[in-house]
Amino acid sequence: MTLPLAQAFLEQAKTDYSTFETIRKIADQPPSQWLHLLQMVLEKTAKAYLAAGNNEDYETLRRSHRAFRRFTHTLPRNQGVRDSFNMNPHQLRQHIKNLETLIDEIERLVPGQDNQGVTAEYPWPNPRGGFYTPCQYGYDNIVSVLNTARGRSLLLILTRGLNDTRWHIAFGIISPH
Amino acid sequence: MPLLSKNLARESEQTTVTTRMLQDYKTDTTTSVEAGYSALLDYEFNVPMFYQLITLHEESFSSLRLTKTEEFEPSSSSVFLSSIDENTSRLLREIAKEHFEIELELYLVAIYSKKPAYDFLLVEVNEEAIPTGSIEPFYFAPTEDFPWPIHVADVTRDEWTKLESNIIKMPPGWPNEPSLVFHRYEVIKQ
Repeated sequence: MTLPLAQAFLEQAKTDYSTFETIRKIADQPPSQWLHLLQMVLEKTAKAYLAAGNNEDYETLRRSHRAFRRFTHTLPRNQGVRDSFNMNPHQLRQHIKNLETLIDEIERLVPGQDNQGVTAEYPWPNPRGGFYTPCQYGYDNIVSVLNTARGRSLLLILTRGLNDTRWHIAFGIISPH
Repeated sequence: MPLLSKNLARESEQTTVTTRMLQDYKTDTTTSVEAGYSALLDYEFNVPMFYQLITLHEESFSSLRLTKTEEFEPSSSSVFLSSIDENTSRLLREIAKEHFEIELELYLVAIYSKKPAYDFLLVEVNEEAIPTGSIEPFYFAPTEDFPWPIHVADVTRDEWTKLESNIIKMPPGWPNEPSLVFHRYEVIKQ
């Protein structure tokens, strides 16, 4: 079975999110295990939306970065999204703005040439010697916020992006007909 | 976009037109118009007869297919001319105005129109844009207020400069030059 690229990204993101929820509830699982999944859900969800409308090809999408922050930045300008929240664009804009730091911190967990610091996947060097490893790291800047109203707001937007048909139509992931 | 001679508008006013010749002033080449196509020229040319042509065909947006005279048949070398009519331009200005009002750090909206489809890419120059070094738009489906799809891509000022200099490329299928450009200072009255 094959799917259009946008739907393929979206289905994988939904499954990753389900795994994220499961692992997060397990008490002895370190935050790195579910933060890694959360970072991937953000990335794949945003790339699903970038792929809609045949905007991007597969290779371009693979190279794209910080896509979820860019995706959320466009939300207040989309009528379908505003209607789904029953918010005016200025309220939604402020709501999104309050989430930007948290989104940035999650998106920056991706290992790579642009990130020589904290990741949720690979060890990274301590300038004073030795290496940190994700499974022994606390990620307090993210974990503490995810348990607040701000964190819940981010997860609400994320699950809307994953599951809300109105959003999928508004961004062309699926056809209204 | 080639600047077409006024003869095009004059001759195309006949609704029974089959094939007509026309002159491209810029490249000094003669072309023929295929039957069934209507011409819609950018209002920036400021030629009233071109407006008449829009009204005549009662279409809000269309394209004109041209073939070189020596070929006389549609071919892959055909070129498409299209532009944005006054009503669609007004609606796009309303969208730009709304975006300026929502995004306080947005200072310019450049609108590209795909040819020959009814499809618009809004490159929005925003101080708060995340730099990517490319144009990566999000698709917005048609709405009751605007019946055509739009694609929205935020870019930084630096990326906009590079786009204008052709250092950053437009996504495949989009023209290099915008059809409309709106500045905050002219859309949002102080």
